[in-house]
Amino acid sequence: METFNFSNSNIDLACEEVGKFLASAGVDRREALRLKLTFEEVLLEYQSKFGEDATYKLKCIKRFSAIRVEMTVQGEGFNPLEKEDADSAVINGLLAGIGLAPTYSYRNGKNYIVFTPKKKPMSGTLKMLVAIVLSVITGLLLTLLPEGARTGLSENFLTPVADLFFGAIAAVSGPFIFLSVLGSICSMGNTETLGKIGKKTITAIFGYMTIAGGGLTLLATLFFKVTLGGVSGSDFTKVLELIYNIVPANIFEPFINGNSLQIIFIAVIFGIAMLMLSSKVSGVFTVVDQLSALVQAVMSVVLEALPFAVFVIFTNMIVSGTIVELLGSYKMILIIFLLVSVYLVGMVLWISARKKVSPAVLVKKILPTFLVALTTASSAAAFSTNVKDANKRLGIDKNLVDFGIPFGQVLFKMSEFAMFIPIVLTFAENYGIAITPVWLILAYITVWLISFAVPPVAGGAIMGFTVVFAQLGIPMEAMAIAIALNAITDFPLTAMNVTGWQLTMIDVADSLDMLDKETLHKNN
Amino acid sequence: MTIEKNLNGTELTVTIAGRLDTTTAPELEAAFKESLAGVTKLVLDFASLEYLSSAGLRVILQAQKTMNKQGEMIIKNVNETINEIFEVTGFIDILTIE
Repeated sequence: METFNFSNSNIDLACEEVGKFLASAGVDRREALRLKLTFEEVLLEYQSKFGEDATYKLKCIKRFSAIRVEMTVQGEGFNPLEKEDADSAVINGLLAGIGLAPTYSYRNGKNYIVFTPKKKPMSGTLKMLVAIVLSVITGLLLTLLPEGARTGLSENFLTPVADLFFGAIAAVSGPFIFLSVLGSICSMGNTETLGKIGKKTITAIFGYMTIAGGGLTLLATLFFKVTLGGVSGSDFTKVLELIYNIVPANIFEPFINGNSLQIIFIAVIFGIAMLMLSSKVSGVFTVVDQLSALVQAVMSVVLEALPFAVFVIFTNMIVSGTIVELLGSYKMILIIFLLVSVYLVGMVLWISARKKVSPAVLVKKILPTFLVALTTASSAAAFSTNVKDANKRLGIDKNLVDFGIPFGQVLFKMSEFAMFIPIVLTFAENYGIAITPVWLILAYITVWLISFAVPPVAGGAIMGFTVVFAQLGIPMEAMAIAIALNAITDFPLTAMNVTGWQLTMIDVADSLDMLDKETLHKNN
Repeated sequence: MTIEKNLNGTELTVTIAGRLDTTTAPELEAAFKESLAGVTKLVLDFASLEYLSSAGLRVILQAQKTMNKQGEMIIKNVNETINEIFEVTGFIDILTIE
């Protein structure tokens, strides 16, 4: 940890140091530039508040994939990130475009500012693809071994190693989901204070996800054989059981048994209770924040092993021959692409009809954001284009854009339906699990819950697979294919979420009378 | 950083070269303070500007506010690095860049 004062030359020095650290840590160049400028803004604010001779401590940390820049300033509480005066244009412009905003807290007479940038998302995807290619080569070479040796290798080495990874994921999944849901509810509670805007935005997220998600589920089902004949009363009790069983016998049981739906239920109850008590439990809010950071760090550690785990699982599937059966699952990739296309075309037509704007004009306006998201698979990379076009070209009021776009990025995950549903349907077919109407309802409810419960962070999708597979009786070995598929389809799925939410925001803006229809209709 | 000023009637062209950062921004601020009176058109030439920090942005924003009251401000010859800074800060929408 280094100590600096707030003199101009030291501010430049510290900014250079932070800039170099972010570049070496693999943060996207534009995001690093934005963070460096924000960091300087923070320092200038403290300089103006405490004078050039005051000091602060700076710590730049990179542990596995977690990157943190922390600064600590001793003195009275002062949050430089909340400026509303005339000179706030620089910091407000920076904060509006930043992927993950820095956090401020004041404890024990010290101001803490923490930046937690993310590494470029592509690197993880590339690692995964390399792991798959290597596993195919290794797997094919190992098939040259005699059958006995192959079986021994699979049973005594590859399967136990794969199980170790699944065990590690299962160990973290409980606290991860619990804290994620709790955190989301707490932040939703804060949006309630924003009044009408917050409520309308949340309603739009839930409404569109429920209806369009149901439509996508039904559409995907058309490509699979649904067993209608065998439906009995006892089958429908399974849906009721899902609902009844969501309430655990005690608060520890779900964590011991790894029952994710019960964990979500407990988190919702705790979240509501925390909102009710609000300032009386302000310390708990801080604890939740810190525990979330801790669990995400643990998840990052586990995920460091992901490419290796994928390599082992894939190799094992090739060696044991299960890959042959699952390779027929190319169908699900086509269905995923179909669902993304149908959803986006449907949304364009829906919004065009409702707002009486030409579909061609609407497509032209959303295209830049769509293309950035499609080519980078990163909603953070598309953020600045998204914010700019939502306001300047779609005519959504800036106040709504500044709140709604980042909020939707966390909660609006239509892609979960486009990805999970075709995957679980394909695996159900491959593993001989009967796709009954009841099974479909269970799949829909589980994916709906997971879309809100699992945050859009590294490991979120894997956590989602663990929960959905367990709930629907799909063997965990299928996870390797699902993970690989996630890496391939991440690009269109990100574009689906980002563009889908941009289109939904037009509706939200109109319902709040915050839509400039002239701008929306203009062919610019 | 070097600052070069060229006054032609009420049009002032300021050419800035090098790094406009926290250390050098006060120099530019002082230069604007002493030169902007009576100016109706301010042209900032950034052809040789290598880096622009947050403190530099504040000075430019201040100049823009002053010129909004007494005329116009144009920034020209913006290179890729500086343009990216304007983009990430949202200043691209506030300033007139040619």
